[in-house]
Amino acid sequence: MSRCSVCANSLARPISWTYLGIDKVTPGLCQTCLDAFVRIKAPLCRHCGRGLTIEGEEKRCPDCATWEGGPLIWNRSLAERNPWLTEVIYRFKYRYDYEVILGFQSLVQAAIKDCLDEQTAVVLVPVPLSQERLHVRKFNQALALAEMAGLKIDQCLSRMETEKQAKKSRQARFAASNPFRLAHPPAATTVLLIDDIYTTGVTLHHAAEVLHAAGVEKIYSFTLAR
Amino acid sequence: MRITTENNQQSDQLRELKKEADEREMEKVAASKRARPATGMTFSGRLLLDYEYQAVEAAIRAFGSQLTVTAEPGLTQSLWQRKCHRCGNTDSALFGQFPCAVCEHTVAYCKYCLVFGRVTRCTTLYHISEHHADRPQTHASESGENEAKVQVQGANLVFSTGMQLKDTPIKQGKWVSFQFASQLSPRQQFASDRIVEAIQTGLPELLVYAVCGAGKTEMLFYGILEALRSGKRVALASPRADVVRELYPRFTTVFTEIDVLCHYGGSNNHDQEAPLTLLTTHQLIRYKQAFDVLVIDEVDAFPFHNDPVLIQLSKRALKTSGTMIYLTATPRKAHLNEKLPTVFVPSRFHNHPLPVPDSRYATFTTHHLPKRFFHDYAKHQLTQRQLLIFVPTVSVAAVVEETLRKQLPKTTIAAVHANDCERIEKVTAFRLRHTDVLITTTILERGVTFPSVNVFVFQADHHVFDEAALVQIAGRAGRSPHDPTGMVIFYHRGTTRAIKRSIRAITAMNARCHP
Repeated sequence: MSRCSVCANSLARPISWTYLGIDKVTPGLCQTCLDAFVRIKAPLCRHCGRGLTIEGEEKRCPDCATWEGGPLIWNRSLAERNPWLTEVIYRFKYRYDYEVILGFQSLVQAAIKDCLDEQTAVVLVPVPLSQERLHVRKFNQALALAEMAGLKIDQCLSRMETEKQAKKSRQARFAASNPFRLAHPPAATTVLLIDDIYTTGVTLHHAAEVLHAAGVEKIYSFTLAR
Repeated sequence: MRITTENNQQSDQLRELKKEADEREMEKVAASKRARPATGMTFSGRLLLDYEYQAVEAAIRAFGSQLTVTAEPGLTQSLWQRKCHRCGNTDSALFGQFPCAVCEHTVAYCKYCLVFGRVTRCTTLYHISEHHADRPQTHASESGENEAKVQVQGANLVFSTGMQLKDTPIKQGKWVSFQFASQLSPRQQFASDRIVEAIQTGLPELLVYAVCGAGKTEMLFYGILEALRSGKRVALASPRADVVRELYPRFTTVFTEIDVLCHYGGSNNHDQEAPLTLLTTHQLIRYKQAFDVLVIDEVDAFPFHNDPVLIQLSKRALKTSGTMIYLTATPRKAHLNEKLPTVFVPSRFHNHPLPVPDSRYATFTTHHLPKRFFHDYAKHQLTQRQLLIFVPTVSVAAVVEETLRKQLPKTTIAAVHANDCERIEKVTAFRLRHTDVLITTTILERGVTFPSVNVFVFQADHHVFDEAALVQIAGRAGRSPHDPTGMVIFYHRGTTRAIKRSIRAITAMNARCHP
């Protein structure tokens, strides 16, 4: 029996050959969890992909004024960061429950495909963890998301140990120096950065700067929550 | 509009209460931080994950030969089964797997005990045990603060009741101050003596079967005192954090000089240890061969009932020579069939009979409360007591709350359930008589004491209300010696076996001590 990856409720499915294991069953979310999940709807901020409440001419949220003209062209996110999703991401990142995220596979796959309609030769670059954090968590949450998309992955970045972003204030995040370094030269000229949450955008912009300096021409990003 | 302002006032009050509770909590935490410096006992009996172990490794090393550290794999896997060695879980649905970036394999992890830290295939568990069965003296007198107390050992023993100091000399360096003023009833005294005897002789198991409100906690005090005096380590495991929080002040007022540790999910003191530990049952996961005396409260209830994993865990937390004491008011057949040595206390501490429930047929539809309820409610209002309404599910609780608010606009009503974020505040408000009616799911069925309440159960024929639950619920009424009775009414659509049996059980217990 397949179960919802978040709340472990059973997912009722019509009886079919998949019950015999012929077809691979992808874990999904139950209706209760899908109801709690809020997809970001247009109009979007053209830069950070946040859902805008009023459609203005600008189509840009006030936060993004700082980032205009930077190396990151745009960010797109799957879902709004509501208490439910925060809880899910907390379990995934800090309780280290890897399988929680697998229920989002089909949603993530479709969303990445949607936002990349014209770019075909794109390579996914997951935002890395520092070695210290990786040793504790034993998986990279951004890599886990990237693997769900089924596209080519290039782990060309590495990260120095710094304080957790989640523990810093907004000002501290903006003031921090760039923690990313290039591990090896990037394999493509069009890159989609993958991360779990876009809060202020500092992390993704730092990563984009490093990639830009290494000669990547087009840099986009995708996150699970915004 | 009026309702909203009322609600606002109420929530203001609640916030204040919460604030007070928070402050009290902070003081407690501060007090526990001031506790004595680490002794070898701080770590003995602990089962640590590798990263937890690394954090305290240096401290453990400092004890040298006093502590033995044994490493074992955290999770083992055979062809058909996985087993988590920390919680003993073998249910295949409660294991997950992920590609481990450290060992570069796909490894399994246990989801049962994930909230206590992840155990994976590549995790090592460290079990820390004391080298000597008898604790050496040196570390009690290591710090200057303790030395003074060691010198006055014995003199520190205060017995407010007429208890005689036993002949057994108090071990060097062990000092216990005991301040317990109230007198036990003859039946309580009998049970208390049996507990003391069991601890002295090292009886492996003892079942204490005492009716709701018999004063189980008071019966334990002398037993615990006896254990502490002989340098034993004691723990009391209770199924619910509410109960643990309620017990903590009662124990600290009795055992004033020793550290009492209160240990539940979110209490943030998992690295501390004390001779007397109050914990929620699930916290036993962190211990192995740790306690000489382990008291398990409400063995018949969730989460213990029907959970073989927790039963294993509690047996593991007890030392092989230790004494396990089970407390219950409603033993399951399985417990009685095991033929454990049993102490039976058939009467309440104030010696009044248990209130016998009335069962009434009443149809209950979602937005309409039965007439009989309002009839009984009028009677209830004459009694000056508060009203506790039990409902089977969270959704019913919400509906009943709404309907009652409409129909009884003058009364203050609150509803609680397990995931309610204001749960503690609402229960405190009810205890302080700020609310008249509290609608609750089975979370308040046991372990809690309100001085003067009437108890109504809606949809008592629902399957969550089994015999044990109904006996416990009826036991919420008449707990105070100043108001030893109360109305208990079960509303149902057709009596169930549980309703009949619970009433029969209560009448039988009453007949046994009030013939």
